[in-house]
Amino acid sequence: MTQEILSFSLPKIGEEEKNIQDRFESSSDGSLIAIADGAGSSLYPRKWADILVKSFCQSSEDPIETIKESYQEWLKPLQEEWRQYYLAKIRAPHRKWWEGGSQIKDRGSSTFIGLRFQGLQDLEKREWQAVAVGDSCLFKLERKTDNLQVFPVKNSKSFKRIAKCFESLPEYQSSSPEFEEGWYEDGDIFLLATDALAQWILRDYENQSQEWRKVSCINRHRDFVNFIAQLRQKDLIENDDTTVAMIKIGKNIQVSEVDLGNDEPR
Amino acid sequence: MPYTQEISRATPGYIVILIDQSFSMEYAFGAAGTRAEECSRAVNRVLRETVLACTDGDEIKNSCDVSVLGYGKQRNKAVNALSGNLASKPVVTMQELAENYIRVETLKRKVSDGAGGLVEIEDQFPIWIEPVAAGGTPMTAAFEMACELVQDWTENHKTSFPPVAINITDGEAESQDTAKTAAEALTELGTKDGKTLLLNAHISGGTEPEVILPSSPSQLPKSDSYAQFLFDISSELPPLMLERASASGLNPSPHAKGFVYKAKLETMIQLLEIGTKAEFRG
Repeated sequence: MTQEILSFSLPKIGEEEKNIQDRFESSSDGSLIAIADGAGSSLYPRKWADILVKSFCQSSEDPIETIKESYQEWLKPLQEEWRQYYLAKIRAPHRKWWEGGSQIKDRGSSTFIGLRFQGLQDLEKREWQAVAVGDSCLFKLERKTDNLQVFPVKNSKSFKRIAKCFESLPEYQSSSPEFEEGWYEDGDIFLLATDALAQWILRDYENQSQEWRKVSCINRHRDFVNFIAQLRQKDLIENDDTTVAMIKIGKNIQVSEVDLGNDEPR
Repeated sequence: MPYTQEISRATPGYIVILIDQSFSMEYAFGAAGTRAEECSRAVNRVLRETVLACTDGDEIKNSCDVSVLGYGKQRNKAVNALSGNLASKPVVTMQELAENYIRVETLKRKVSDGAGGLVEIEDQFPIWIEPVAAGGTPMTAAFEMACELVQDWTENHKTSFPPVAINITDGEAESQDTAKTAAEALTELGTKDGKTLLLNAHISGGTEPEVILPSSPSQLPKSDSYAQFLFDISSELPPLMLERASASGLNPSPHAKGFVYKAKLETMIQLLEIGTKAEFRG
């Protein structure tokens, strides 16, 4: 069994692509996928979100099991990496007064959701596990039953202004993550989405509309841009960085990834 | 639902700070410095934190405009209290504010190096407003000037979070009637997200009890018409400011107004923070 992974990202209105604080990563074998949404009010949120997704997807061991044992221990080396980045910034000569945060703005915060597939090459053990903190969400659309499973936010009204986060320094308490797991088969589709799109999908599903299904049919970045632009124009989605990763489970599909702004598979 | 728009480059916010610069601001503010000194220190701090709220550490985003008006030094007039390159700009962006200050004060602090040691770094605190204490209290002129600026601004930012005006005063307006009319004209202006909010911080160096975020005139000192006037022109706090007030330990009731009377230094700072941080959701 193979899978197809597609990922699209769009900055909030008024921002440039280089300022997107959502990050996406997947492992080379497609067994680990993660997205993170850096909190704009925190310090170097993009860097922190990047460290989180890369560390998860570059793990040689089962990162979900590691996080289950102790998410604080899993975070420690990641937090150290962010700290050194921060120290380099605040010790830079000719630093402007507003660069490097302040005594109260001294750490990054980010939501996070990581997904692991077992048995991609094994017909017997097709299991998935997920770990999440905050309001970035996983949606699993089952081909056989047409059921939509949602994790961790269960209700579109539950999205809050300030989400739970992993913090980039151990001096600050990170929120405890939640865990979910299940089975998967050919034809199943997984979506990982940051909060703006996640809330829209959930609300659309709750309203028994079928518009949300269109997300999984998007194959090109410009179609994603148009789709989100229309939602924004109709005021159906919050103006926020918007990211989705789609994992389509199927036979004889090459693992491919579409990069931001590039319509050709790599 | 009003007062829910996010502050961003696409929908920037607008903060207008009005500072009483009358001669009585030379008086002591409790055990601290003079009222003018503490007021300017607090405003400089709030301006610094507003700029920092608009940056992720690398880049400043123009997601909030600011005006700082002073009243008192000139008879029947309010003026732009910013100086230097900003003297001719009564409304400034975050970038303009960040890059144009009178001087910088520095303070060293230590941060952990992650290996059990400490690294000393220097924080910089720009100064934009110097203490001024001269003349009367032409509050009407201040509200009228704020009204003109807000009218212009809201015409160009129809979907933004409404402007937040914060008035800091220690005395009585020269004419309560005209000041009330001007304040009401100000709070009639707004955006699609709601009407302009007017918060009033009346400061005092005395020992009278403070009135903090009252929801009813019955909470004001009896027969104090000045307190009643400031209460009447203050806006009810929207939910996100009530949350901010609760988070800072103030316990406001649901219809609390953005008004503090006979406020001590710490209470004045709390009102400033409620009015300038709540919109940033942080």
